[in-house]
Amino acid sequence: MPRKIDPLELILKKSSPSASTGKNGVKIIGPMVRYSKLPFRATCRQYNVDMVYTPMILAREFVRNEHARFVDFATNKEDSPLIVQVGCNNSTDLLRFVELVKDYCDGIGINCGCPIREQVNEGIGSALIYNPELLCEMVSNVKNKYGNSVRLETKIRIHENWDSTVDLCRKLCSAGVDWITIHGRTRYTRTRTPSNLDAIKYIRERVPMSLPIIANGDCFSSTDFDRIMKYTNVQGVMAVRGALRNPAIFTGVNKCPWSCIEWFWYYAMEYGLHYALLQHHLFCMLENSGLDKDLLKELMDCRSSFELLDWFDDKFVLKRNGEVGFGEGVEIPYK
Amino acid sequence: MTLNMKKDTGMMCIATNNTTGSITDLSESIEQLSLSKDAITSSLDLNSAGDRPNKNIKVIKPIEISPNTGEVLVRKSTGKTKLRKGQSQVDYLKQKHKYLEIDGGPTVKEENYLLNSTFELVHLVTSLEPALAKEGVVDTQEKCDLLVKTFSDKQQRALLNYLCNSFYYQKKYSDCYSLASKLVKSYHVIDTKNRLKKEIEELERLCTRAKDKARGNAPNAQD
Ligand SMILES: Cc1cc2nc3c(=O)[nH]c(=O)nc-3n(C[C@H](O)[C@H](O)[C@H](O)COP(=O)(O)O)c2cc1C
Repeated sequence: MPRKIDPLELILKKSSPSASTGKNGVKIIGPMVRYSKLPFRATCRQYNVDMVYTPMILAREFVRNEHARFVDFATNKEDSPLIVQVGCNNSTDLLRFVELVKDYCDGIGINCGCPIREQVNEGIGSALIYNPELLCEMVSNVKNKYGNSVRLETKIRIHENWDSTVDLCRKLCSAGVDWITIHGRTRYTRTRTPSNLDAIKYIRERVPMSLPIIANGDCFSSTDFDRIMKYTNVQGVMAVRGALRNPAIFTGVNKCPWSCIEWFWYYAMEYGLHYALLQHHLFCMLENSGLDKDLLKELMDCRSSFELLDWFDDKFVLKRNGEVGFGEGVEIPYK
Repeated sequence: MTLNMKKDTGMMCIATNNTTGSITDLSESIEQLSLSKDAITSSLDLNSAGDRPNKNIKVIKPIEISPNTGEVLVRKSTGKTKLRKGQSQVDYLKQKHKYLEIDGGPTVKEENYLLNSTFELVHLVTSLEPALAKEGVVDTQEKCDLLVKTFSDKQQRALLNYLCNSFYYQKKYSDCYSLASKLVKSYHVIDTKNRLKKEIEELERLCTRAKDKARGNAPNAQD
């Protein structure tokens, strides 16, 4: 299943002012541990997205353990362009990880933003933005070995001192990173504090334009996408929670259309998905669609996939793939 | 006059080295000064309500002990160290061979993935069904061992559970009932320690619903 798409070319094409189509920047759905699994990615791909990420996969486990490989990564032909995100703290694990996955994705991203103490204590995630030597060494080791045949991204958070982030980005650029995604929060910023667009803009202005920068944080609609693009002058925007709530975020609709729910049910049942994840995804989407609180509570009271299905079939018209009008609805089709 | 950004703090220092600096110099400097305002406020942390500045110093760097195995020493914030074992080249090559040559890379989930990936398991429970006449009893030890070996794997049971739900989703209620009821019987055989109680109960509830729907008793059976 060799991949054909070069994500860097895609970013450059989509963000190029001279491109005849889609010149407004690349639209990316970013990584979420637990949630960015194949059924969700496949659903997102129905709706005008340019690139989708897997959840963070720990290199250490992946290269040593068959079970971890089975659980952490599944894909298919349509699952492209795909960036596989990795959590790692040394070059050996990273190089081995890259060797195992490179032919089954379009690019690899290093997670340098995860603030969870458990990972930070291991030197993984946001710990890496405070360890530029190691991060740059990992990047240059991969790029020296594979050159342009492996595209490598780093997803970072900002430092309290933005110049440290500028410095890091310049070093990463010299190490050969293909693009950088910047989440406009520090390691300690809570999600209730808005993502800092001024910081992203500041960094964009000081890093060579030849290095694409993607902005991440608080993109919940197409309007947000346009606003963030314009304000920061980046090459694209990555939405994460916005896409969890509304996988059709980049189509211009402001609430999750019913069609997403039908596609998601279809893929979850086709590929298999743990019940707790199925329920959480549907909750997020339906809440965004404007479903009444009492009904949301009923949804959360269901205990298994078939009970949830009965509840759906009882309350709504849930079309199955192949039925007329499947995957086309917008409003919630109450019975 | 020059403006110097102090590394690491983002603080601006204004150094005057030319007392006769032109107006243009001055305005350029002021422009730079305003551009750098954000850096200054960020370093002072005036614009990041809720942040806890200077905690970053505590981030501890892992130390690579053996560069070619990925063995690293990580240090907890308590000061204690932990050694993360390395992986020898020999072991890695074994894993690589298994993943790339034998498995052919990651699981590929196309249409009918569940049906295809559980084909042998379904065949096994179907072939053993006549021997599973009574719940919790199978006629030979050999068959019992085979069931235990097959269904002790949580992942395999999960796949079969997904398949049952997939039949239900597709409104193939008879197929759903047929498989789920065989699974209930098989799981009873192997579940001597009551570890699968929840899974069995869920499958039993599924059987009841699927049977009702297959008979057309349930309100949504004709949907
Ligand atoms: C449930 C959840 C899981 C996440 N998992 C990851 C992850 O695996 N890797 C990563 O780099 N960021 C992860 N993040 C952070 C997001 O990718 C993103 O940076 C953050 O949510 C800000 O973007 P947003 O405002 O568009 O959500 C996760 C966020 C959430 C809410």
